[in-house]
Amino acid sequence: MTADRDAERVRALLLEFDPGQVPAPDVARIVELGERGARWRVVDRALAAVVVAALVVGAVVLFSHRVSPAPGPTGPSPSATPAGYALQIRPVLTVSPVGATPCATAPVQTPAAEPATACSVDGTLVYTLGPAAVAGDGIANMQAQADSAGGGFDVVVQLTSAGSAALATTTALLAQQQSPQNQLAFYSRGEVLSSPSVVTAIVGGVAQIGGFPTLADAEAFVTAVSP
Amino acid sequence: MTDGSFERFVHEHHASLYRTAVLMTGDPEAAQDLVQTALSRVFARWSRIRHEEPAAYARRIVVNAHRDVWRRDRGREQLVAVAPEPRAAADATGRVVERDSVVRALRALTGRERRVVVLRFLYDLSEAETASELGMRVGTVKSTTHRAIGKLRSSADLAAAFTEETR
Repeated sequence: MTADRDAERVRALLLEFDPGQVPAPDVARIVELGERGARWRVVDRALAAVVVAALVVGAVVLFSHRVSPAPGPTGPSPSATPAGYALQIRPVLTVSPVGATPCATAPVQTPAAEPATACSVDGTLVYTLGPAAVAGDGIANMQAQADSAGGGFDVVVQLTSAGSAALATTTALLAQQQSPQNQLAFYSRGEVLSSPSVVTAIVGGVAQIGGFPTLADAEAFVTAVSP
Repeated sequence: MTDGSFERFVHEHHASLYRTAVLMTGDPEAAQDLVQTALSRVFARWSRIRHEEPAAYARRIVVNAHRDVWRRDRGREQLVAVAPEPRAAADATGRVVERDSVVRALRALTGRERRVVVLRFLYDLSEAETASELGMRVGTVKSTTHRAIGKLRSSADLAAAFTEETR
């Protein structure tokens, strides 16, 4: 059948494709970029956020993510925050490389009303964070889904009306700040999962965490922070 | 910081990632940047993914990170012109001609078509696997594949390759 033969021909062209001389990988540079990952990813995603906000009328913002491993056997932990997502949205006060102060090892959820110190998931940055603008009880629902534009997976975070109002107020203030005080931290159990820069006030009550490579990754993220 | 396992991973997979990146971007320099970015993201998560499928993870970033660039600026959703080939003289002439024609033909596809073609044919993923990796429906993968093959077959750049086949 012609269609099959065409498909075979395409396959052969791709498999036989010779990209020319392959430049040698610069491993030192790759490692350096990887170690700074948390930083540049914020910038990367902050740019994407502008596009998404423009595409989806209203206020959806695309956040970067760092998938936290589901903590141990993910049984419901009865002592955790009662009936709420273990996810808080906090303003970033300072960011610095991990130095003299090592990251805390105990995965403890700091109460929403208190400032917090937390490390990036990859353990390279230390954040000091203000009290939570939105705590677990401000999140109505989280859902993993395929990116409608094709390619990749997102987690959609739907806030309650109180959560939406609080996020709108906080982001309106943050948008006027300089980096890093214009960043919002997604905080869970002593870790900053992502810290996108805020470009405009987020008033729609929906946050979108984008860039998960598989649906399973996105679902694992939801499971990890679900009550 | 690592025990050498990441360095071994880079040396084993760099060349194939680079080839994919050239097919996706059509530009050697952009491809090199893309692979570097993908590998640095792998490095950032190395302790978690090293025992899973780091190669598949890196491939997803090469295919999906490129999408991010396009989505950021739709006005630029076109491959840049193929860079002058400084090493052409060192290659067999036929190779260079074929390389340029494949790149030019892929350039005529949409980003989505190119992703589907690369996953289906270069990586030999099934329609279902491709659908899951790109967050598309299987039916969309089928129709996109069909459309992409049609474009490639009628591409003037690949005319020689396709007529040769039908002879």
